[in-house]
Amino acid sequence: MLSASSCKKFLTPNPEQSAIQASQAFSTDASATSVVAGLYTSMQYGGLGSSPFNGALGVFLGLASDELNGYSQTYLDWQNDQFTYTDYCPDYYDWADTYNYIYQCNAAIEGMNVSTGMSDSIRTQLSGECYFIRAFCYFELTNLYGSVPLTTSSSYQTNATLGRTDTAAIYQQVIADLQKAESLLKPNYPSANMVRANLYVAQGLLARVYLYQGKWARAEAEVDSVLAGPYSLATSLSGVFKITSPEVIWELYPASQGSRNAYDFGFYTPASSQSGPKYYLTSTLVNSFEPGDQRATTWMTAYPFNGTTYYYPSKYVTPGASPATQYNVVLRLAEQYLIRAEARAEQNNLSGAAADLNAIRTRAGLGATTASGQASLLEAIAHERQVELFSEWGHRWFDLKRTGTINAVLGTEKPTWTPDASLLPIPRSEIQADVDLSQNPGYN
Amino acid sequence: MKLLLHGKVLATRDSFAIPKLLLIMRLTVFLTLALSIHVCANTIAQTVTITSKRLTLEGVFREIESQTGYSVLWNESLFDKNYKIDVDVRDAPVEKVLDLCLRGLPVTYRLHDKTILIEKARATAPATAPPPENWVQGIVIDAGSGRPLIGASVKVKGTSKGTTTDASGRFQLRDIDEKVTLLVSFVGYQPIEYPVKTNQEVMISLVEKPSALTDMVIIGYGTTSRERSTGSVTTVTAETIHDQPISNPLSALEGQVPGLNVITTSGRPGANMSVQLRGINSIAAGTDPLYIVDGVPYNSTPLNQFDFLGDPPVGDQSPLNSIDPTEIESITILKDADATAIYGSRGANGVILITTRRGKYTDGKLVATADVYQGWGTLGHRMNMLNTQQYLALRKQAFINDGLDYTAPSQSPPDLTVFSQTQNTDWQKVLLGNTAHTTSANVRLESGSDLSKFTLGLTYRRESTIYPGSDADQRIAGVMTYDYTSPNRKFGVQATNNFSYDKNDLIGGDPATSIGTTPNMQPYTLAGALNWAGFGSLTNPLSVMYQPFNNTTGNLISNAVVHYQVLPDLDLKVSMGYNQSTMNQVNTMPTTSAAPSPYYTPSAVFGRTNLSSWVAEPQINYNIKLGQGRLSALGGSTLQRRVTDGDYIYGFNYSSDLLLNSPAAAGNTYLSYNYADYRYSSFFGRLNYNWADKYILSFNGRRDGSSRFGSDRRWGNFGSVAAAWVFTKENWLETSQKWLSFGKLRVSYGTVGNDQIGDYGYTANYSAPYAAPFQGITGVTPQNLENDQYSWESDKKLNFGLDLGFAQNRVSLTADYYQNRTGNQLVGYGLPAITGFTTVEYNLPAVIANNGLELDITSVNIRTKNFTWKTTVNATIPKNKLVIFPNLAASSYAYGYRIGQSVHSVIGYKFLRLDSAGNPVYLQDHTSTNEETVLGNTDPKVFGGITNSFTYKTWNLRFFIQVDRKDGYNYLASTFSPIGSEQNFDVLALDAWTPANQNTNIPKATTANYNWYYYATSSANFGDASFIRLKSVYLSYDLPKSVLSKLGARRVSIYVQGYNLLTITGYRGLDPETGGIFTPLIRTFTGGIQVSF
Repeated sequence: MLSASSCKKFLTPNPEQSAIQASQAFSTDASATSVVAGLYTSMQYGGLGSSPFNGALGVFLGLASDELNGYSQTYLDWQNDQFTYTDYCPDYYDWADTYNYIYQCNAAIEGMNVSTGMSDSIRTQLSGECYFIRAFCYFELTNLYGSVPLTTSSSYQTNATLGRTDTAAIYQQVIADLQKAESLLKPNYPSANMVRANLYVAQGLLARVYLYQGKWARAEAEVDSVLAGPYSLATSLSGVFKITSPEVIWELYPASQGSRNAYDFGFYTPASSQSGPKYYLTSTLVNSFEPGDQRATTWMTAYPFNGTTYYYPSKYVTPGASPATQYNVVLRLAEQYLIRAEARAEQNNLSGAAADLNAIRTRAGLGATTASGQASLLEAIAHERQVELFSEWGHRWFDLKRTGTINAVLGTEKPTWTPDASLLPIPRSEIQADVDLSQNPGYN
Repeated sequence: MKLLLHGKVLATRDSFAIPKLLLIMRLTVFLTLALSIHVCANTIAQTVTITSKRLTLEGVFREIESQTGYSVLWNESLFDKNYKIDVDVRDAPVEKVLDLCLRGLPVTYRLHDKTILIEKARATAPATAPPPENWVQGIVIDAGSGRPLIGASVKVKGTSKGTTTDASGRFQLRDIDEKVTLLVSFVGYQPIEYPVKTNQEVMISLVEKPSALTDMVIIGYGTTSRERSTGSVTTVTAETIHDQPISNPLSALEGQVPGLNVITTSGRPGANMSVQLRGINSIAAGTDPLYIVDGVPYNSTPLNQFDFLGDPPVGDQSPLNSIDPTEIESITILKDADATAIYGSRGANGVILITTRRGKYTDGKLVATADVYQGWGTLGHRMNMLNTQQYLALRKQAFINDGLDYTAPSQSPPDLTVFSQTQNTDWQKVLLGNTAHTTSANVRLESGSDLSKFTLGLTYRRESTIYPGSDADQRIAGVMTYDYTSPNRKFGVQATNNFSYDKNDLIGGDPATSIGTTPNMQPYTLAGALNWAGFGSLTNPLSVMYQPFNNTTGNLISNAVVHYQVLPDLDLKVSMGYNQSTMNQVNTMPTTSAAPSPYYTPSAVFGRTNLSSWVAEPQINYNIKLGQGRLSALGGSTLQRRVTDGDYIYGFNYSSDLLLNSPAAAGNTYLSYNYADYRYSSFFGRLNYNWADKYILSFNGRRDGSSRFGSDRRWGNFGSVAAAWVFTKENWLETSQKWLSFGKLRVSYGTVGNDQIGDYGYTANYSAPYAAPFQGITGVTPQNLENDQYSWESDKKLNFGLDLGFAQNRVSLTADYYQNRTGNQLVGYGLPAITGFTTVEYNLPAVIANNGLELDITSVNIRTKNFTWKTTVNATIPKNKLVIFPNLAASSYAYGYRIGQSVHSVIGYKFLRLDSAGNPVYLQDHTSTNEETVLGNTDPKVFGGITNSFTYKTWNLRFFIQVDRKDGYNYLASTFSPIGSEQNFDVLALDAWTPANQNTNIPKATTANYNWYYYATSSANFGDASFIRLKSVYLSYDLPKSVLSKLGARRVSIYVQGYNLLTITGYRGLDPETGGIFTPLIRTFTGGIQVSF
C-alpha cells in the first residue's frame, strides 16, 4: 500500500506536452511573445465562414451589400440580407471569434501587468499591440452588431452575464485603447514587414474610427500622422497588395503559410474550368467603374461560364511558388487618402479633398475628379471608395451604413431588403446563454 | 453402491427421487463454483471446532460441512453407521480433524478443492493402472469447463454393471462385453449414451442442463454464483457471442442484456458502437461503461485522429473491434451499486467485464480446433428513391414554385441544364449494391492437466463491404493463456496475452450518405474515368473511392495474476496488466480523385495515436467464521496510468500523386500533436457476510484519486451496501410448497462516480494549434477557461431485485427495478462566447434520474431425451428524466433541456398543416426559438429480445429476435436542402404540394434552403422508429460419435448462420438503428465448419 504523499505525487500527471499552463504563459519575454504571436495567428485561422478576419468580412459583407453575388446558393441568406443566426453560420463566428481575440487581449494585458519575468520594453510593446487589437475587434463588432457587451477583463464570471453597452461607450473604449496603444507603440515595426502593430497602425485605425464618428478634424490629423510615416502609394495596381508594398500599413501574417498565397484567392477563383465562379461581382459594381479605370482590369477577372461572363475580384493573385507573395492587407495608405479626402471635404477644404482623391484616381489611370462643390465631391469620394476598396473588409457595407444611404441603395438593389438588416443578428446561442443580452430588432 | 452427500435433506435418504436430485444439484452448484474460483475468491473458512461426545462420523462430517462450506462425499458401505467417537478440537485445520476421526478405519480421504472425498484406503497400485483385459476406463468431464465430474454415474447399458467416477472424475469397469454402450449421467447434466469397445480409454464430456441459477457469476475482483449474488449482474456466454458472424464483441450484446442499450452507429465494418447501461447518466461527461478485459481497464474512446462527417462520426473505429469475439468466454455486465461500487469513480455507467477463454482440462491431451466460415452480405433494405423522370419533374416544379427560370444564366443548375435528361443512375445500387464477403478462420490449440493449462488461438478475419470496390477490414488476432497451480494448490499463476492487428482500408466516409445524389448524374465517363462534366459545385460521390484510406490498428492486452494462499484462510494476489493500442491512419487525395483543375494539388492526411496503459492491483482475501455464517473480506489497491499521444499531419501541395504516402514529400504540412497523461490510484475493500446461504450482506468501499481534477479535488469516496434474502431457504416456505424451487430478494444502494472528462481541464492551457510559426515564433493561444474546483459526478444507485426459480429451476426469472440519480454533473458549462469561450468545465448541481424495470426469463420448455427447447426473454423499460436543473431557463441549456423530460428530448416545431401556398404551418411562429416544444425523445421505450434454442439429437437451432420500441427522426431530418433542391428524395416526395395537389402534408418543392431546417426537424419528421429484427439464426449439425470415432475427431460441427435477416419497421430511411441515411447493418448469410481433434 502506498503512503498518502506518494499517492499525491503519483496522481500529478505530466503536463500536456504541447501546451503551456496559464501560470507560465507570461513568465518570460519569449513566452509572452509567443502568446501575442498566437493572437495574430488566430486572427488568420479558419476557413471562409468560420473566421471573421480571414477574408470572411470581405465575402459576406460583400454579399450583404451590393458588391457580390454567390454563384452557389450556400450563402443566399447573406445575399438576401436575411441572415441565418443559428450556430456555425458566419454570423456566429464573426461574433464568437472576435470575442475570443478580445479575451486573448484581456488575458495577455492582465498577465503581462503582473508578470515579474518580462522586460519593460517587451511588456510595453506587446501591451500596445494587445490594446490595438482589442480596439480593432470592438470597432468591427460594433459596426456589425451595434451596441455589444464590453468585456475588458478575462474573468468569465464577470463577463458571462453582461448586457449591451451603448455604441458610444464602445467607441469611447476603442478610442481609449487606440490612444493607449499610440502611447505604448514605437514607429518601428517590431518584426519584419508590416504584420505587427506599430504607432502608425494605431493611428491609421484611429483615423478610420474618427471618420466613422464624424470627427473630421481628428480624422484628418491622424491621417497626417500616418502620412508622416514611411509609406507611399504603390506605383502599380498589381503591387498594392504585395507583402512589401510601400502602401501597406498593416497586414495579417498567414496562419498556414503556403496553403494559400493570397488569402482571398481561394474564395473567388473557380475551382476548375468546369465550375462556376464562387462569388462574382454584381453588375452594379462592375458597371460603376469609369471607362479607363485600370482597377477594372487589374483587380477584376472576367470569367466566361455557361454563356455568361462573370467578374470576380482578383486583388490577390493565383498562388505561385511558396513562400507567399501577398498577405491579407487590413490597413493601406489609399484608404487613408480617402479618409482625409472625406474629412477635408466635410470641413470644406475642397481643394485638399480633391488632391487626396486624385492621388487615388491617378494611380488607377484616371484623370482628376470633375466633381465640384462639397456635395458632389463627397459623392465622388464615396464612389471612389466603392471602386478602390471593393471586396476588402466590408468597407462598402460600413460606408453605406455610416453615411445613412444603406436603405436607399440596398432597397433599390434588393427586393428582400429590410432596414433592420443593417445590424447583424446576435447569434441565437448567445441570447440563450446570456439572459441579459437582447437581440437586435427584427430578429425575434 | 451409493454415493451420498451429507445434508439435512438426506433425512429422507431412502426415497431417492426428487430430494436427492435437488441435493445433488446443490452439489453441482457448489462444485462448479468451488472448482472454478481457484483460490482468489475463497470464501470458506478451513478450521473447525467440534467439542462433542459420542458423535457419529456422519455427525462429524455434518459439522465440517457447516463450518467450512466443504462438501463431504462418502460411501455408506465404507463404515458402520453407528460407529461413534468423542471429538474435542478447537480451531483445528480440517485435515487434522479428519485424521483424528478416521484413525484406525479402513478409509482415507482426499481433498479436491472444496470437496472432501472419503474413500477406501488403497493397499495396491493406483486405480489408473490398466487391468489385464475386457476393461474400459476413462474420465467424465464437464463439456463447458473441461473440469472432471466427481460422482458421475457410468452404467453399462442393458446390464446392472456400473460405477461412479472418483475424485479426479475417473472410472473403471471390468469384465464387460467387447462392444457395449455406456450410460453416463450426472445430476444437472444431460445424460448420454456412449458406445465403447473394450480395453479403451475414453473421455466423456457431459453438457450441463440449462439452469440459469447455477451459473457462476464473475463480479468485481472475484466470483460468486447467481444464487448468492447480491448485485445485479448479467452474463452473456460464448454461445451467444459465437452465434453471430460479428467482428466486434459488443455486437453480440445487442438486445441480449436487460438494461444495456447497444446501438451500431454504422454498418461499416469496425464502426464505433454506442453503449448505454441503464440510460444516460450524464449531460456532458462520458457515458461509456468501464470496460475491463481480463483484469485490464480498456479504453473505449476511438483512437482516430480524424474521421468523417456524421453524427455520430461514422469513420471512427471502435476500440473493442480489436478484441476477437471468437476467444471470449463470457461478457459480464455489472449494473447496480453493489456490483459496480468496487470500481468506484469509474463505475457510474456500469462495468463490462470481458473474459478470455482459458484452457480446459483435457487430461493432458492436446486438443486442436479449427473453425472456418464464409459469409455473404447485402444491403437489407433499400429506400424507394425517385427515378430521373420523377426527379426532374419535381425540380422543374420547384423552380416554378419559386418563380424562377432554371434556364436563366444565373440559375443554370447542372442537373437540368448540363446533365443528360434520360440518364438514370441508381445510386443505392452504385454505392451500396456490392456483395460483402466475410471470411473467418480460427485455429486453437489447448491442453490442460490437473496443474497447468494453456490455450493458443489465432483468428484471421476479413470482411469486405457493400460499397463499390474491394476494400476490406482484415484482422489477425491471437490469444495465449496459461494457468498454473502448484501441487499443494496454494500458489497459482494466470497469464493472458491478447493481441490483434487490424487493417481497415475501407472507403473514407459513408457512401450511404450520398444516395440522394441527383439520379441523372453519370458516375463514369464512357472511357470509364470519374465523370466531372458540368458538375459545378457538385461532387461525384464516387470520388472517395479514389482517395485511399488506410487505418491500421495494433492492440496488445497482457495480464498476469499471481496468487498465494499464505494461510488456509488468507490469500494474497497481485494482478498486473498492460495495454498498448496504436492506430495509424493515412488518407490520400490524389489528383485522380478530384475534378480536373489546374489549381488542384494532391494532399494527404496522416494520423497516429499511441496509447499505453498499465495497472497494478495487489489484493488480499481473508475469510473467517463469524457467528452462524462466514465473513469474507477483500482489500486491495489500484495504481493505473495511461498515456496517450498522437499526431495529425495534413500534407498538401504535393508535386505528385506518387509521393502521397510520405508526409515528408508534401509541399507544405500542418502538424498537430496531442498528449494526455491519466493517472488513477485507489484503495478498495469488500465485506461479505453469508449466513447459511440464506441471508447475505455485502459492503463495498473505495477511495479513488484521479488526475483529471485540480490538486485539491482529486480524491473521492464511494461505497455500497447490499443485502439478499434467499426466502426459499426458510423452513416455513421450504416445506409448504414444491413449485417454487428458488426465491431471493435483493436490495442494494450506493454511490459511484464518473471522471470521464478530458485531461488537464482544470488549468488553462496555451498551446500551438497552428500550422506555421508566426515569423519563426511559435504562436500559442489559450485553449480553455480555467476552473480547478470541479470534481466527480456522483451517481446514487438503488436497486431492488427478485430472483425466482420454478419447477426445479427449469424456469428462472430475474427482475430488477433500478433508480439512479446522478448529480454534480460535470459539464462544459455553457457560457456566452463573449467570455472568449463557450464553455467552462464545471460541476453543475443538476440531477438526472434513470429508472427502469428489467426482466430476464429463462425457460426450458421441453426437455426429453433427444429434444430440448429453451426460451430466454429479456426486456427493459427505461425512463430517463432531468429532475433538477437550477436556473435552467437562464442557462445555456435552456434550449435543449426541460425539467421532467428526458435528456434526450427532441425539441422542435410542432407541424400542423400546409398553408394555402404549400408552406408548413407550425403551432408556433417559426422565427421564435423559445416556443419550440418537446416533440418526444429518442430514448428506447422498451427494448430486449427473445432467443429460442432447439436441440434435436446433435442438431442445434437458435434464433434471436431483437425488439426496440423507440421514436426518432426519419431520414429527412438529416438532409440539408429541401425537396426540389439538387438532391434526390424518396418517392413520398412525389406527393409534394402543388396547386393541383393541395391535400397533402408535404411542403411544396422549392430550391430555397432557408426554412427547410425547421420543417426537417419538426414533428412532421419525428415519430415511430421502432423495429423488430430477426437478428440471428444459427443452425448446426454435429456429426454423431460413431462417425467421429471413424474420423478420429472429437467434434465436427457444420453450421449456417443468418444475421440481420429481417427487419419489421415503419421507419422512413435506410435503417431505424443507424438512423437516417447511414450504412445500415447488412444482411449476412454464412456457412462454416468447426472441427476439433
